[in-house]
Amino acid sequence: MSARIGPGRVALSLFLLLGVVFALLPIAIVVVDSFNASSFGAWPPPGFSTRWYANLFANGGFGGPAVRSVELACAATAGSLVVGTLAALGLARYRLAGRRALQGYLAAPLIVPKVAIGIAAFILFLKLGWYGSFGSLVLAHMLITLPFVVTLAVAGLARVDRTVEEAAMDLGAPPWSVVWRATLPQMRGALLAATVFSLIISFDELDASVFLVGLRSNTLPTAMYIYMQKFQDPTLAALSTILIGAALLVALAIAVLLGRIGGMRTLSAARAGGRAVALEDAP
Amino acid sequence: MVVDPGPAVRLDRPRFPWRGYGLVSPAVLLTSFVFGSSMVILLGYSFRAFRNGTLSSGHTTATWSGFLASSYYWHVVWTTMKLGLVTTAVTAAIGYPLALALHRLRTRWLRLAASFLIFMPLLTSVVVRSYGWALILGDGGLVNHLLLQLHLIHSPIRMLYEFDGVTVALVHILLPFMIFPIASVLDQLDPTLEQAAADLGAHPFTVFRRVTLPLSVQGVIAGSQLVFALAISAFGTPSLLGGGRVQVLATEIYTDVGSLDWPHAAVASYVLLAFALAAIAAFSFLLRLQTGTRAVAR
Repeated sequence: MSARIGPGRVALSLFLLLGVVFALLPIAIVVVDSFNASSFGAWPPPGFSTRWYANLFANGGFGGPAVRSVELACAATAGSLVVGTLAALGLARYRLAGRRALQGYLAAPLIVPKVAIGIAAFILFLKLGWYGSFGSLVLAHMLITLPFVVTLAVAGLARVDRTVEEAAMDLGAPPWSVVWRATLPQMRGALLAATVFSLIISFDELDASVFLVGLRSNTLPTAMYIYMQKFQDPTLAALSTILIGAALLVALAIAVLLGRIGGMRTLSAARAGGRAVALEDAP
Repeated sequence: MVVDPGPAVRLDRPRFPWRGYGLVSPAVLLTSFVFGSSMVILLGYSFRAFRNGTLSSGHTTATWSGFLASSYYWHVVWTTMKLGLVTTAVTAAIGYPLALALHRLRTRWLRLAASFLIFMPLLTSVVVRSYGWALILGDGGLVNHLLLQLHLIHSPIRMLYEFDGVTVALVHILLPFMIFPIASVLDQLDPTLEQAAADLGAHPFTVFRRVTLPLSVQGVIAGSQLVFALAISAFGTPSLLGGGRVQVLATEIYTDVGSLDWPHAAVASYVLLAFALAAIAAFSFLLRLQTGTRAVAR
């Protein structure tokens, strides 16, 4: 590459600027619209008002779904972290016959469209009489987040320094203690990445959940989906603005945590899981 | 072959790795229960039929043959594929220069900031992003307002609740999945190759065309695989921005479940799955072909 600033370079930089505008435009417009005085989101806003925020808290009906979504994301993440880390230990540390097939099987839900997973699980849960229950949603979200917890944990395990484990074993530590005090602390970067991705994916999951929620067990995304189909007023913009603010705070918290824990090692573990994560976030 | 680097003598180590299977079993049980068994049940329903509001008893291939013979469903399949193809082509066309621009940014903080802004929408829900596009593309939205102000048009262009509007929003939502693999490949590229070409007198564009682009096609294929698979299975955006006028397989399945026609939803799910698998296999083949020719070229 030449050091001088050529026309190609200028064009690329301008294109990047346009790309950033394109990426942020729908988000910025939602924030602006949340203060729109017009009740059908007219553009340009005829005036500004905070009444949609008042409306959101007074009668939006999003309180229950919001709490449920947070609880669901936490429960599903906790579950898939435990199940996924155990599976990664088994896959990475034992000579299992059909190891590749097992790993492929556990990753299969990534490839299958979420709507197909949703309707299949819907029929299953309906037959079992579990339809709409919190537990059934936790199981479904565990299934959806599990593949990349496994992927990230296997990637994290590959970087673990085994001499530390062997030292612990030689010093007489029982196997569970070796895992808990020598293996897992070395994987904390990968496990943190898995936790963050799992929380975000579960919290934003729509495609499968829309089949699985009952009338009284809407999650935040399904409640927003239903609201958007019925109403056009900016109450949804007010809610979205709050969610965008929360997402920015989460991003900041992740950045701080990444700085504290293992820094770049975590990032490269996250990159290893990038493909898996990418397949997860189906619109 | 996995070489076990563990100590030669480990007294507690059984011949058969019971413990290993034990560790994997909760994950296998969960996957088999929620996913494996339910997909088999769903396949079973595709061999039932739904007539006059009730599920017929006994097995039949009528739902399958009805689907495959219906011009309406082929139209839905075609819309789904068109959405996948157009979205993939547009994200590749926009995503490649963006990934290259990110890669070429020299200042570290500028690069981090630009990457953050480009990938930030991933942190917000698909419903929020679709809602934003509804505000931009609506008849009274930002784009139509600007075009009317500039007197470029006399009446609003209908984009919302049309194929084009769904495509624009889907491009926005899936763009990060195109940029990410391309940027990874570009970052792994040996910079001395580009330097050597430039030192030998190649014009910057020639360097790009003969060196950078061929070496990063891999990233484009990987990105296209992701974007196409995600675009054809997308539900939220086509449903919210298609307004019932843009029917794809995913929204068709949702409609079928609403009208209790499980057999039909089952067939549509398996047709969608078949297309997703075929696309993933096709792109994997392209990827192997690409790495193969590179190996030979070396």
